[in-house]
Amino acid sequence: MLLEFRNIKKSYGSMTVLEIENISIDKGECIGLVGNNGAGKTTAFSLMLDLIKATEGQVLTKGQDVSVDESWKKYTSAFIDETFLVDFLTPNEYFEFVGGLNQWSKADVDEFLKQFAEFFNDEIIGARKYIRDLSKGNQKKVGIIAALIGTPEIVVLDEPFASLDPTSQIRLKKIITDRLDQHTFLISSHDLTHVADVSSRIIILEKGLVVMDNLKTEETVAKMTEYFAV
Amino acid sequence: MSWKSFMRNPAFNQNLATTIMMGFLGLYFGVIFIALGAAAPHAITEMVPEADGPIYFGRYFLYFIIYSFLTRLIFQNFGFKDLKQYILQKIPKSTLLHYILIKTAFNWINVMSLLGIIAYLISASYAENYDLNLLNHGIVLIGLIYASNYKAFLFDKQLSINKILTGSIIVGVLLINYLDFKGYIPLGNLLESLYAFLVMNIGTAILPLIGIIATYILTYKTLNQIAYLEDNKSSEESISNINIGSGLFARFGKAGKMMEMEVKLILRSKRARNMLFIIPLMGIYPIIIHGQGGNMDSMGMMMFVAIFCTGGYAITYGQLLLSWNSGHFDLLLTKMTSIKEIFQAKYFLQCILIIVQTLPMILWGFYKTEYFYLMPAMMFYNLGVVLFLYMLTASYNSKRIDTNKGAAMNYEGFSLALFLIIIPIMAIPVLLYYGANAIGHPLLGILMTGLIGLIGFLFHDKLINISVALFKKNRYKIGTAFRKK
Repeated sequence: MLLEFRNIKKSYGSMTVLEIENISIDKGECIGLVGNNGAGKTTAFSLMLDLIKATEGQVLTKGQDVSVDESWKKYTSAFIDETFLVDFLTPNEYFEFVGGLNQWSKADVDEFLKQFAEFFNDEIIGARKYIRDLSKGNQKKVGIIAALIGTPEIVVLDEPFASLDPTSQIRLKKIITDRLDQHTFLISSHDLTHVADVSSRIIILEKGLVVMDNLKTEETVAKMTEYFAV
Repeated sequence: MSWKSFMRNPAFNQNLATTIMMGFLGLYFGVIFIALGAAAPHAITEMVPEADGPIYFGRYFLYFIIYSFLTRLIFQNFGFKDLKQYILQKIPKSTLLHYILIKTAFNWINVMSLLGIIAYLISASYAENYDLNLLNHGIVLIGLIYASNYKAFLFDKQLSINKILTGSIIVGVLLINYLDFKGYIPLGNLLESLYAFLVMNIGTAILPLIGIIATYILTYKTLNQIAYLEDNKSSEESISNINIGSGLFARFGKAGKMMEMEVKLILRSKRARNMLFIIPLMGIYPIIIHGQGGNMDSMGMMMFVAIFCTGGYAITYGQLLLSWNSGHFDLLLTKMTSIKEIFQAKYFLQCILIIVQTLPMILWGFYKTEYFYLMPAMMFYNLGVVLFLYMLTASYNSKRIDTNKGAAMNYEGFSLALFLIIIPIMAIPVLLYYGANAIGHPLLGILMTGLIGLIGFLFHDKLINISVALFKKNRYKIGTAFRKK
């Protein structure tokens, strides 16, 4: 087992925002985490990345508690929001920086980035602009691709489809599905179709609780669609 | 709205402390300006009884205007960031621009100057043998302050486009002042005549006022053309390819990558970059101190000078340690192999800065021999003690910094902890020195200070571990605060 949420609970004062009894994730899965605003998706990811403190329970990667042992950082990558970007760097400098942290040379990074030329749509590579001056959508593209640098085993993407244009959304789905053999993905979204397209397993969160956790089949997709129908 | 963001900031208590501190500083300077203003008429009649008091005052007031103008150019915050949040609201742009322009009228330099002027005018009207036309002088003095205010505003906007010009103006003014000081050009007399001309009658007294109106209109027009949303965007040309020291940093591994990135931060953040001015300033610090003679030449004073000469930048920049990285802190927390690497990168970069800053400073030894050993000793004190005190403080300072903001009166990132830590930083060498002096071996005190630093430096790995352990306990709190805008 690669990743496990074990009896995890996050409360602010008397309000519990997330309570997961158990979620176990194996290598090679592509988890689609869906839920409405405030369902606890980002909270779950933040706990997993040791960005916030769990009120109770643990998140374990390869059997190690992420809040105690830092070894998960070697094989985990994430893009949650702009605090994962270095806004005073140009996209190229940023990719090189992240590459450097993964012991990739500049040449490695350049070679790696070539395959995303279409996704970047000529607006990112070689752009003489700092990341802070890119559009939200382009910032997102930079963050997502940087999270793939170093071929990490676990890739966590929070709302990767939001603020991307329709063409880019489709291209991103292809990027993810093409790389399923290389990474274990955890992707959150409130866009049901995208999640249904890329993931192998769907977890629905509602007000901090897991209300559904099933492998993706036509049935579960139908169930999910029904669940969110008003 | 500003009030709410202030109240609701997670670092509220720290903000409050900073605000109270600033309040005291404001009060302090306010009292000084008022005292200076009030004392001026008496002091002038006493010291230069033969001169025409008010005109003599005007001469030095114009010097003040020149220097405050430079200060404004370097430090004043022209409030464009505030503008950004309102620009999409249904408020006409003209109203917004007037708002910024009028708001600057109440900035600290102006308020302090005004307090001083009012105190001066009141005091002057009661002083004996000090004849001045209150109305004329009042209009001219206040007019000059505001003419300088808006001129600086205009310059800042135009000059942000042309950095070389700004630099040349500053250098030019300083050069003229130097020549004047050396007596090559009679700037003082010129200023005196100018002032005398202005206060001659009400017609000339309103000239500065006309100047203000003209500058105001001109500034407004300039702003109107350039103050759009993209005002803060980096233009294509401004992107500099920084590729220095990759080789130097390579030996530090992942930490080196972060150091390389941090160098870019220093060069691209207006605030961090402006802090670099501290290095040349500290470079001439000994001559400023010793030029005054007297008890400034004591060994204790020289120790103090040497601490800043060797660690000036590391102290001003380094004290905000992790706050500089608040904008990309989650990346560092998850991407660096360990928190220790973050601290190593921070520590080694500061070390390089300190050593680089120290090397030329040793040359002061030719001016005062003591500096030959004082500079290296205090360098080690900075490397082995000061840096660690700041690394420990980092666990108690959870204040965010927006690196894109300018330097002017920018206290982002300052917390009570940073004010408090100054006490041990200054107290340790002082106690060691005076302790040793009391038993008749002042050199021993210096040696001890340097030695403690050297030990700290040699055991930096252990000390980093301690800082990291402390940080880990507070990491969620700090991370959460850094995420809040």
